[in-house]
Amino acid sequence: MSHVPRQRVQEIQGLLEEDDGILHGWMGKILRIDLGRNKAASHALTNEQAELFLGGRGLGVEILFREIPPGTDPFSPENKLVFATGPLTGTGAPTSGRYSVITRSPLTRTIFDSNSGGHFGVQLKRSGWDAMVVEGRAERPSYLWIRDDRVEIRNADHIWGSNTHATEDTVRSETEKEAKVACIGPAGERQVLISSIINDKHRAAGRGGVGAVMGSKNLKAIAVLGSHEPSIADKEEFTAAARLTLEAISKNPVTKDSLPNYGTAVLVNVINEIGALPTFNFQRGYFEDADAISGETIRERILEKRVACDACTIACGRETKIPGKERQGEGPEYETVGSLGAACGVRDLEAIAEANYLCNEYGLDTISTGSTIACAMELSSAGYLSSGPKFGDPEAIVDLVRLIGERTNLGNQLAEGSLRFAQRHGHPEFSMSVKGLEIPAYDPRGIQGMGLAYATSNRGACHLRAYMTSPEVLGNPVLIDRFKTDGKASLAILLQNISAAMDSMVLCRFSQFAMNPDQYARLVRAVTNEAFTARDLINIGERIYNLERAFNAREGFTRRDDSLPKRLLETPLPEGHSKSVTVALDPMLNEYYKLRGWTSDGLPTISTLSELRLYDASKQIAEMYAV
Amino acid sequence: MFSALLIEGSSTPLFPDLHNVRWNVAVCFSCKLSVVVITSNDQKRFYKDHHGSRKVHPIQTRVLHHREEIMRIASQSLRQVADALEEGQLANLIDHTELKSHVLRRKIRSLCDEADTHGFATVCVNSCWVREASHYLKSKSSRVGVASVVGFPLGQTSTESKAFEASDAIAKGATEIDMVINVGSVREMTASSGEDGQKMREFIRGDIGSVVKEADGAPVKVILETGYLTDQEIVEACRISEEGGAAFVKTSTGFGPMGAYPAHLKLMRETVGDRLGVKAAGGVTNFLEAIRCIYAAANSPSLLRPDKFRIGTSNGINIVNSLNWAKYDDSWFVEEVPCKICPSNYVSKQPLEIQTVYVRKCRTCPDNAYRKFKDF
Repeated sequence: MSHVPRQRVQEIQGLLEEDDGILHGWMGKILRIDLGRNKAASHALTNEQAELFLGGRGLGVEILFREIPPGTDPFSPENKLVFATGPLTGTGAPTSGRYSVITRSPLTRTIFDSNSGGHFGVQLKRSGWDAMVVEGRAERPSYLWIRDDRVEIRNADHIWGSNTHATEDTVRSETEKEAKVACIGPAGERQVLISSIINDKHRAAGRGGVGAVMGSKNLKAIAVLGSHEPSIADKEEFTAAARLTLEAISKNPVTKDSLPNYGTAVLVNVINEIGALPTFNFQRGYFEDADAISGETIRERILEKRVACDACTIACGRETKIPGKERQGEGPEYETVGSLGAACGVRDLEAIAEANYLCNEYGLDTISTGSTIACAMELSSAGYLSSGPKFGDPEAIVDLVRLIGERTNLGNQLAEGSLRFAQRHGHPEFSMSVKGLEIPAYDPRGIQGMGLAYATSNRGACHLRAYMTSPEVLGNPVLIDRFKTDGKASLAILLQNISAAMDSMVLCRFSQFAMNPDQYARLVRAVTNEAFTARDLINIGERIYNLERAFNAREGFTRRDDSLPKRLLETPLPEGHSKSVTVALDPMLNEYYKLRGWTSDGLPTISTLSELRLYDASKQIAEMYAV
Repeated sequence: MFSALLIEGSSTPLFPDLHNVRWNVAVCFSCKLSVVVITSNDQKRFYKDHHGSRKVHPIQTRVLHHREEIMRIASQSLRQVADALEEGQLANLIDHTELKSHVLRRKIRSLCDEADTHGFATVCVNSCWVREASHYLKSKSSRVGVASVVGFPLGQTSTESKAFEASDAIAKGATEIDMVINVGSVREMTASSGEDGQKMREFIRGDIGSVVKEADGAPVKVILETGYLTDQEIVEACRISEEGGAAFVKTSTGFGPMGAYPAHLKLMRETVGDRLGVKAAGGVTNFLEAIRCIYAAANSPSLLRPDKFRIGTSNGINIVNSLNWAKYDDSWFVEEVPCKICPSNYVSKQPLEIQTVYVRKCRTCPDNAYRKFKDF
């Protein structure tokens, strides 16, 4: 057990030191836990970290870049796992109930941040920490209990092997009932490369195998409970800004109707109608049975009630129950339905829900799990995998989720993700992934900007780095032609930058449907009393994006990694409203690199990094280029 | 100088011997005759009146380029319109609208709160809510006006009913009136000739005039429901509205077959000049649509004022909020596929005979390759 002395705010210099001695927005402290040495320590959040990176994803990226030497094995004790909140976390700002997990991914081997909602992040902030850096590896399975300044590293032998629900129940019973828990399931323990960290039982820092990194550190769970209220500099202004934000959310068609009424799965019919719903492992873009797995059908058949994260009025979460069975849980969300449903050709909503529940219990990323199973199904149907699963088989998806979570039989191979699995069977082209991360449920042949967003995402195929579906399909803030490539590079950059800033405040991406950059800035200003403008936030996002890129460049990533599966570049969809189109990636990519100020090989230049005040990165990249 | 108002492609070309030419039917402002305006390959311009005589005649270039200007709005032009908007100016042009039948009192109050917060021009409500909205706004010392609809949404109530509605709304605190024109009469008028047509014209003028009179100085906006009218009828409806004393002409109710399209707005603006205001209403949901409307009907500082231009929408907050994104990237200002902003592409809810007129235009449209359904 280790007691961490409370760090006084006055010890933090510069930006964070207010005239009245009270720090606003940030807590001013970072908790560092060395599991190998069984020690915890506190150090100050620096002026520079807050000013240049805000918090959340940005702060985690800054720590990782500085502290992890190039070539660090993601599963080694030297890799670090950062849990970070932002200046808006815990303030009650609309949609601010989120936190980020940042590490080097064992799946993509890139820098990686994964973001989750629920209530864990708020409690982490309320316990007095802007971030928590976990390093080393515990000798025995352990869990952390953080109650404000008091940090305990406890034995977790008795819960090792438990699923996430049982783990949370046990940990809470051993700590406090009100504690919020983030934990891994059996998948993370077995270092399944597509495993997640699950908090509040149903919320996932889902992607990139962050659960496996936690498992590699023998860390089963983290329980937090805090009693500190983050200070808000200008409460009156904050209330006014928050009120306008809530009003905007209540007026936007996506956030006022679609998401609350039908959850994220409202997109199933929308994306299917435009012929961009990945079906049969991206062989088609139109799923004839889409309505059977749509948000409308979920509402009609299995919805129990809507669920909201902390400080959210949208409430897109779905508490569901499979009729006639004693199975209850949350989801499925759109991405889950897309990957475990349409991509696998499965129209059985109950099987998808069951597979979803199991993913949450084992601690698995539903997107990567579904897409990896779909890859196996295609290999099987093409005759490259004997007695493998077949498209459309609902029992197969449920069984395979179990096998992946337990790393047994075929599941042991699938646990490596689709790229390694397809490579093992001699056909990497069947893996629908970028940088090894499976592609979410938007076929970029029908949404060209998403193709660029997937390809240039620093963490691999991610729909949330730049959610181009919003302007290209949903018309938010305005509708732009989804088949055109002109101007997409510029928009992707804007959305990538503002998204990186949102992940650092930390706010939910769905706020972007209704809010604009000036509204974000107003909230951050009111909370921190620092003169952030919208342009500042976009610049911060650009800095984060470039630092991530520099991290990846240091690990050898280049333009060849900013690509898409051959199928998406060369084979048009056979039917639907996106047929006869492939992704015109190269022209968009050339323009993108130019606008980013990177080399034609996709590497950040020394001058671009310096302009963004990333001097250390600039120096390291210069040394790398010299070699 | 011959000056014509173009009504593109609304009849068969009268020059079968000429190939690869652009042609349009026009109405001459001076003699009111229909003519066909042609641009030949060598850029000579002809017109032919309805008697078939062929003459060479100088035509104002702006008229000839009418179609290109409105079917294709360049990204740069949209950017310029957005850049010209000052902080809060767009909000000041918006009538914050709530005209649903199931609306509750608390919704009207929040509508007023929102309008007050964002600085919208008015709240536009059904007449039963005028007193509520007016009192509530006054209690807040708000500068937001109250617009009441009259003869809404069909325009098929008697002149007396419309007059009473207007008078009642004004008595209860309305500061502006949005009345629906008798659409059927407009169509009948243009289909009639001689005395019948004149009588119908006088009836419509009287219908509008009676509301203007009861409005007692408050601005009256005449809703034309452009989706039910041909271009020629829109022009006539604008003229009669002006003759009847209206302050604005307005595109749609939001309940008809079409919303506000740049082509209609421009036609309306060209007809009423700067003497009347133009209001775009129906389907304006985001900043880009709002800017296209401004481009078509208020593309100069003297017109970009609340007394010369309005946007009627229930998405005002979304429009104002989303406009902020425009500051950070030029790529939002896409030059839309021509059909996407052309009324001829949105005819599914129109009566067949009007649909035919609209769709027929596509036959000669230089951009008809973009049309998704080739049913013209």
